[in-house]
Amino acid sequence: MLKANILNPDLEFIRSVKKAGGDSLSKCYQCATCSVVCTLAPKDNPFPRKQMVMTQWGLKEDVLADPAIWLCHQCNQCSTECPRGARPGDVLAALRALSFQHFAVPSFMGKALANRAALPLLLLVPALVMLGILLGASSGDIGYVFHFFGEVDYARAFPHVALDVIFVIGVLLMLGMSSIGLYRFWNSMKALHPGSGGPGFISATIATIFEIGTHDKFAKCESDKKRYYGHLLIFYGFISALIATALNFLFVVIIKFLGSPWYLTSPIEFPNPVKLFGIAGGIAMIIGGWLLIQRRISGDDEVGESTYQDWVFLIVLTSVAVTGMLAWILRILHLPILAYADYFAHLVLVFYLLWYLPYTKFGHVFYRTLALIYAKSIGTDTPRQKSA
Amino acid sequence: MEISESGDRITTDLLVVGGGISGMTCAIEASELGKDAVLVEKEPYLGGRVARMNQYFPKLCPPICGMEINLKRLRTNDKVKVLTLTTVDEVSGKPGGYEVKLTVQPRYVNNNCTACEECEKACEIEVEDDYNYGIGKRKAVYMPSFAYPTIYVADPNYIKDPKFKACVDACKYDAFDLDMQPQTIVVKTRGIVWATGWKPYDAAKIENLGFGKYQNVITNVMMERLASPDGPTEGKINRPSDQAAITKIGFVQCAGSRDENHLPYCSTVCCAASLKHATYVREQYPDAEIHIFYIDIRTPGRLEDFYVNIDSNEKVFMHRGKAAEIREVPDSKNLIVAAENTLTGEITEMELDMVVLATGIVPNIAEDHIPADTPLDEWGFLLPNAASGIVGAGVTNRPLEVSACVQDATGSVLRALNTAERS
Repeated sequence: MLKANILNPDLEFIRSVKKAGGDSLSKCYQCATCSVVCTLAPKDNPFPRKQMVMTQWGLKEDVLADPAIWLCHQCNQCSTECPRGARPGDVLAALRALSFQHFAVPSFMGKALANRAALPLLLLVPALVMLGILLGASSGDIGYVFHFFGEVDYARAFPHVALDVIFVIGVLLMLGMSSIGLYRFWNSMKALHPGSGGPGFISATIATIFEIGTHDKFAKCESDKKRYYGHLLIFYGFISALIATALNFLFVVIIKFLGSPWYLTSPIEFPNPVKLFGIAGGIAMIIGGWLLIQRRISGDDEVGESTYQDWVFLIVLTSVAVTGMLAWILRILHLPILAYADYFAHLVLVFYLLWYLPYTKFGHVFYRTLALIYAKSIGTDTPRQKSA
Repeated sequence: MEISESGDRITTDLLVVGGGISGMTCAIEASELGKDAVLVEKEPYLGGRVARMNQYFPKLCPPICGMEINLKRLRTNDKVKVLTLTTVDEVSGKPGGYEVKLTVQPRYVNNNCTACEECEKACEIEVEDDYNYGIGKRKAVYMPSFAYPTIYVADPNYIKDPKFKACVDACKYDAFDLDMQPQTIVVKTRGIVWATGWKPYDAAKIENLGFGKYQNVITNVMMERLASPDGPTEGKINRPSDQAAITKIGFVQCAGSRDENHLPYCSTVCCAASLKHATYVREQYPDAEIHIFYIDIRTPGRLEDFYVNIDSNEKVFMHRGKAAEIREVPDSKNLIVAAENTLTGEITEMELDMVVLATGIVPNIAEDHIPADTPLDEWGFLLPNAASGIVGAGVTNRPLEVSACVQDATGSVLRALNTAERS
């Protein structure tokens, strides 16, 4: 008996891939040059040729659940060597962008974060929240903010308790929502791309952490070192800033609350190690962000298509670092109006980054990690050795 | 045809530029319609690319079949004037009345030559052999197959070389004339057919395929020379690095073709050419494995049978996936060809003795422009143009196989004469 394989092409999906930066999709004629030139594709299960045809066929569930789209680190060598200008690297980037919308809950948030028309509203929400905190904390009298010179006391305008409540809720909500999305992603990968023969979950996780830590796959990209350094700086800069923020929360709020004498009073001043972590992180993020922005502005062939989601994520992330550093500098310079305005912007951007994480490109920290773990655990993430 | 006493002014009906299979066909067809034709060829021989083939597909007969007949038709024909070693410098005028300036380069050998080969034997100067696409060497005095007239020709770069004297001294017929000068000829013609053909795409530009870097990577046109009885190996196909016998050979289709980084178009003949090469290899090596890496095998019309026939051979293997990487194994100089087999979804890495790149066709006029105002398409092929009245024939118009060139040329003659008639 013949078994019928009925394909159900999702035409809307094909259109959405084209809109999300993969407009070159239909040029692909399946020659498979891409799979051979790719420095990360494994020998027995190479990408991106297969993902291109799956996308052309509108096999949405299959292709979005394919961990291979996350094994790609978009060096775009496939795109520059593609004989048809089908730009597989950009198509895979579009597929990753669509993954957030597909797996994340609630799905309308995914759509909103991908839509540039929704940006003002998405910024207005944290702006109103922060304004509310400011007005509440100052009992309506915010005259002290409007001085050009003078003392700056951020905790007076935006008390720790209020911010901590907002951001702790944000973190919990973000982690909760992300977990649901990632749980759906994991199950899809397992159902649609099953495999065995890998080293198992624990070893795969260790290998993934090590790989991300060393940025090994970025380093393999020969055509563009700027991206490797840029991403590495942002990555460690962000971790460093995150550590500073966590320590700040620990020493200023928790330890003080516990009544321990080890508590610190805000603002933590230079050269306290907590402050040093923050400054180092901020500088690294600014340099890294600048490298990546420069790279995208150059519009070189290997950079690929820069979409709205790419830009908004990169700019918000870099701006968080810039406003964070400025908040410190303006406070030391005793410039209240500039300092409060900057700090306000900083808080709005941090809110954007944190609360919306599961639906923006920032979500790649979770999705890519999980896909790498899955691919390694089933043994499909061993780049082909190209030396003779 | 009127030819002035000094031979530098000619009046004719048709000027045909290019003495390959298309140009020869044009000149002969015109003359058989009772028209005069001047046939101009840059090289010292006729037959162009076809003369350098081993066999035509799909019938696998040697080009000498068609070429000999055409040469005979030319030699016995007083309505065609053939000028070899000749290029076109200027075209002026309009359809029905052109004036074309030609330059005839000196051959340095006159008609006393009996092709006795003594000069060639005595010659100690060896030079790169373009005729054989760089395989092997030729002497500084030489006679290409299909030389026209059938006499020797001296390489202008070496006639002043002190060692060249040995060649001159070896001649018993006083056939060398090293004082020959370039000659300018003005042709008045009513019509012009341009049939300057093609050259193979420069395979060294396809960096990932290693041509020019690895000795055992050759191109399809080189394969023709290796297999030709008048070629540098007298028809024996061995691998270049050590002249070893072939056990496993690969053919890379679309090498730089259908590729916007190289030639964006399909040259239409390379698939059948590689299948033909498979027959060359099979004839000399009954047990050799033949691996063909392809995107699509394009063998339209009757060529489908040719494809099916060759594919049915149990040691011909078809791999659906473009070979996008070739590396050399350092000691053996074998080659590893990598391609994704799109039918299994795995990357094949195959070790082969030798690899042939099926490179495409570049029209010569894309780089050596026609000295007249007549448009080309975006790839450099000639477009029909009523204002210039210049009619293309054969591969000047589009990539074509030999028999299609002959048909195209026949049509072109009619169009050129028609254009002249109506002007």
